[in-house]
Amino acid sequence: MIMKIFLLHKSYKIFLCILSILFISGCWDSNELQDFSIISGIGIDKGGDDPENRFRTTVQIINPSIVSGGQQAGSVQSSPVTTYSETGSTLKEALRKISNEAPAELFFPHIQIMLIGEELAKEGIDELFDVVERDPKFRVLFPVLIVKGHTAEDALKVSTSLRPIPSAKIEGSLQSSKEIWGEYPSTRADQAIMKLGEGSAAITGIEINGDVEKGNQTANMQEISQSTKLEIKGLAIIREGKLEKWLEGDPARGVVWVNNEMEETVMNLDCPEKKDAIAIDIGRAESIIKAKVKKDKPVITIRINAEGSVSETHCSMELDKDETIKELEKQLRNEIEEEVQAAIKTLQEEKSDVFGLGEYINIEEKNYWKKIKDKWEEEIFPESKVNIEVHATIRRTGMKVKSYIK
Amino acid sequence: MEKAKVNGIQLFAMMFMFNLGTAVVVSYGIEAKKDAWLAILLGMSLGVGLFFIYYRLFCHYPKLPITGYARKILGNYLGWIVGLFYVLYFLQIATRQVRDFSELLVSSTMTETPLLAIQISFVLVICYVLYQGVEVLARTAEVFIIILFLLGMAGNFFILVSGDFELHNLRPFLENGWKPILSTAVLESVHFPFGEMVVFTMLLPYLNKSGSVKKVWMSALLLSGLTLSWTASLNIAVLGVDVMERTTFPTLATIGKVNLLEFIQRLDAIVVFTMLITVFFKGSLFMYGAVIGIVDLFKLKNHQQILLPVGGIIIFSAMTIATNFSGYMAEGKEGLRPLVFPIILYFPALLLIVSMIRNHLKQKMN
Repeated sequence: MIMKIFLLHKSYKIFLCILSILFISGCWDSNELQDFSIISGIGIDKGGDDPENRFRTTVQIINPSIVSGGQQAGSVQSSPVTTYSETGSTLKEALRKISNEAPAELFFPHIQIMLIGEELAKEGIDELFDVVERDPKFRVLFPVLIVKGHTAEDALKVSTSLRPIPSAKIEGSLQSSKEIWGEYPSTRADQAIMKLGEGSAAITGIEINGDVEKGNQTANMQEISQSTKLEIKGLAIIREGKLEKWLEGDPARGVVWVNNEMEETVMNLDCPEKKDAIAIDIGRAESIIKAKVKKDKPVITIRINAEGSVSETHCSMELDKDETIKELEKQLRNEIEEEVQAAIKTLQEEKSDVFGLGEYINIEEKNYWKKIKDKWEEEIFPESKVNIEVHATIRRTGMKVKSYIK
Repeated sequence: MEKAKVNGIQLFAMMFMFNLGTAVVVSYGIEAKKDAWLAILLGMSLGVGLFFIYYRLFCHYPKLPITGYARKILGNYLGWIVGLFYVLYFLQIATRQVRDFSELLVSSTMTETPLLAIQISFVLVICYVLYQGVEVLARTAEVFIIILFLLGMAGNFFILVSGDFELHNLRPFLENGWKPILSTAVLESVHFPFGEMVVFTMLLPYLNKSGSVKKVWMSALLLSGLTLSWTASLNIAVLGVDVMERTTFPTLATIGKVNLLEFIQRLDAIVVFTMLITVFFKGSLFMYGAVIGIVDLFKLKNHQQILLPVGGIIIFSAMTIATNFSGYMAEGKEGLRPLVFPIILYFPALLLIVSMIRNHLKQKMN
């Protein structure tokens, strides 16, 4: 018996231990780091009308020696990233074809952003995410953005200072804009998939300010005020997989309020004699959505609780008095309500329920929801009554009570 | 039958990990959509019912495995055939464990490694531990259940803290009524994994205190049922029903969403290890059941000598069971169904009824 032999002799045991080294290292899937081209960002554009080149994918590959090596004085700096593009009928084909140009095998797990060109977004983005979900090499936690007015390839070509890897810069801007200014949400690929499956989605946009060709040069990176910049701008409303409308300003922020994604922002209130002259820092916000069915019609109530403090004022007000604060709270409530109202109104016009309000009806009245499910976005949602209740409180006035302004 | 003794805690550890094996990683109970957790709990309650059949049989014949008392009850020939069915069933399910495990590794982490390479190493490890005997397997279980517990705690903690847990994904309750829940409970979750515990009828004779069977079995059944129900809810709450239905290994997808402080992320290893540990025990126990069944039926001297041949059969059938993953899953769902109920319910119930009639007649004769 073979097994008995293994157990009998000591020398066999040692031999076995050595033999096992061969197997436990998992040689089949071993890969060396230097054999990879690490992708920091991926862009997808419309390729052509032919099915042969339906998509054009662009990858932004990190140049590791520049990113990690610091500044080498005297020598000519090469760019911190390089982009390659290819077309194909499927994304996977286009990505594999890039191997013709790239120095080594593409490495996907470190993707930080995915950009989609506006032209493609208008035709439909539904099929873009299957490969992301199916391929174990992708991680689905990177945010998705739509490039406003340009192709994704252009956006990935723009060099950025401070953060030499443009994808990292975009990701950073998106995060901080979401956390500090709160106008645009950050939608991860997995969330986009979920939303697209349910119906409509809202995806943040990015804009190129300046000339694309200038942005493509490292000189752009060396200027103090860059002539070509990337800016987070616009909220794309995607309906049935297609880009329908760009939102900006009030309605965009309204979407963020309703989706419970608001973290911090600033709201401007009016002084008695000056418009928009008091800044309120919103520090905490939440939204609670409830749905009811009354007389065979859904009634949705969106309640928003916001908390903030006075952070700037351009007029003399008696901020030490409770009544003044109450007055400001009332104004703040109206301001927030206006934004939310603007968002709801625009989206009802667009027939796009990006908030997933339908699901709340389902939770409340599942049988009713089954009846209206198919015509919800098309017919019911635009006609539905949406009540907005805002509860806003101003907690404090910063380091001073009254302003020096008289 | 080897001379071995297993204590209550060890048996509990084996049963608990056995029940989690694969079920904790695959999309389990999802036919019931948002109410998967309820379907699993119902399946568990039916599992309690099955236990009482096995338990009554065990009380009649505390020293024999099911292949042994089948012959006592139904007579040598008929009982032998029933025993053979059990052996084949154990082999089949052991095969599925090996295939499940290798499919997970190949489709998630080791995409270029051939299935066969993983299966051979996995089956060899199982053969080794079974060569050492059931006592060693039981002690290994005692060690690994602690590791499994720590992995489970860590995984759950990170998922809950990372903020992807959306309770409203689980609502509304009874979205599609009771029908899908009942059909999932009866057709799927009662067998997988609670009915599969029928393999422990081969191991109960080794228990050192036969009085503790009820306590051990029930606590393992309830705890593992609750764990599975919780895991299914967790997956649905994080992924949503729609994604979970489409995902081959949802728990892996769930843990993939953990991203704490841009630092604690890519925790797939937790799930892969959970799968590895639990499937190892499930596979080992089924293979052990098959092997000692063969020893018992064919009157062999010991089980060591047939381990490698049986391992070879398992590898061969794990490779040839289906040519692709979809076919494999379909086979598991529909192909097994007609075979399952005779094994977990009809045969044991028949054995119980016949033995009760026999005892009754015997008493009358006296």
